Amino acid sequence: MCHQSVGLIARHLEAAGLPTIGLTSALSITAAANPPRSVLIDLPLGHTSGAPDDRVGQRQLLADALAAGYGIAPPSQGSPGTIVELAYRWIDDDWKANPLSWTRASQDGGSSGTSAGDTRTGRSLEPVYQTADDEALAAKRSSDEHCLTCLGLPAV
Amino acid sequence: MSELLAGRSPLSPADYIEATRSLYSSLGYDPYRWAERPDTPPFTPFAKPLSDCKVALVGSGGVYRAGQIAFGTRDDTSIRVIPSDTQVTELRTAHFAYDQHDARRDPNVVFPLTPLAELSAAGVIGTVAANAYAFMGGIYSTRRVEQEVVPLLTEQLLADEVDLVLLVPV
Repeated sequence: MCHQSVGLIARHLEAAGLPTIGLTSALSITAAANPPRSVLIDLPLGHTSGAPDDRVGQRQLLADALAAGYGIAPPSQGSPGTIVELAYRWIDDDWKANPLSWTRASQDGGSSGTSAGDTRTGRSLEPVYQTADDEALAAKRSSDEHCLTCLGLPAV
Repeated sequence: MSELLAGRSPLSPADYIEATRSLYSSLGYDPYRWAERPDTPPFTPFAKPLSDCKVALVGSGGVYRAGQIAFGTRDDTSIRVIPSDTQVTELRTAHFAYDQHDARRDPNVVFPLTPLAELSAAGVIGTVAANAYAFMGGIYSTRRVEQEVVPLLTEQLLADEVDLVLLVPV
């Protein structure tokens, strides 16, 4: 769903005169939404821009992605809607058997865990805080003024 | 040792339309109707060399900054402004459609502020725009994406006068 949203957003930004480069780890979804410039990074969901704590790898991946995306320059190079695949891969291919069910726990050899994928259930209209401290901090600030860096929230 | 390796996998890229169809079928849901835009997409050429571009990061991984209101996970179409000099240790995530474990350990895997700053320092890009933007991209309604997320984001990025928008979905 994220990839669909981002693909559509890219089209609108370009129509407004803003050039975009979109990363993607979901080829079929991005191809359907058809944004103008995409770079495919075929890693498990949750790692669009690399592996955790890998400063060197993340930086190289992003440099390669920007160069590849910038190189989509029709009419001489590519056409609007081009998706360039980067030469990066995950350490193993096991996740590809069921890509929606990749979890850190399953990667590290623990229980396969519940699917982290989109099961349409368990979604919340209310904010879902990572930590209780985040919730307390946000509540404290919101009591003085509505979150000024939160755009598009309903007015209090 | 990193789990990111150079080279392409011998297997074809993951197909999430097929995987979602299969998952929904097993759960008794009708197939999701994915957006299809087969026309030629709008296209704006770059006005500057990459090394001169002011680049803005936009991520859909549900990233917020400690102190901000977190995202709801049910079609929340709001946006968080994240100053690009925010310490990544201040970043949090709220999402439902991916395992957030690694993103919470190192937010750069879905919101690459650190590598972007490094590429600016190295001269690969020009500058990093003062603001990055984050939202929770798991929005089922494409109408709401296009009518609620797009106008706000477009207005912000035009006002920021950026030369390149780097979009990172999750």
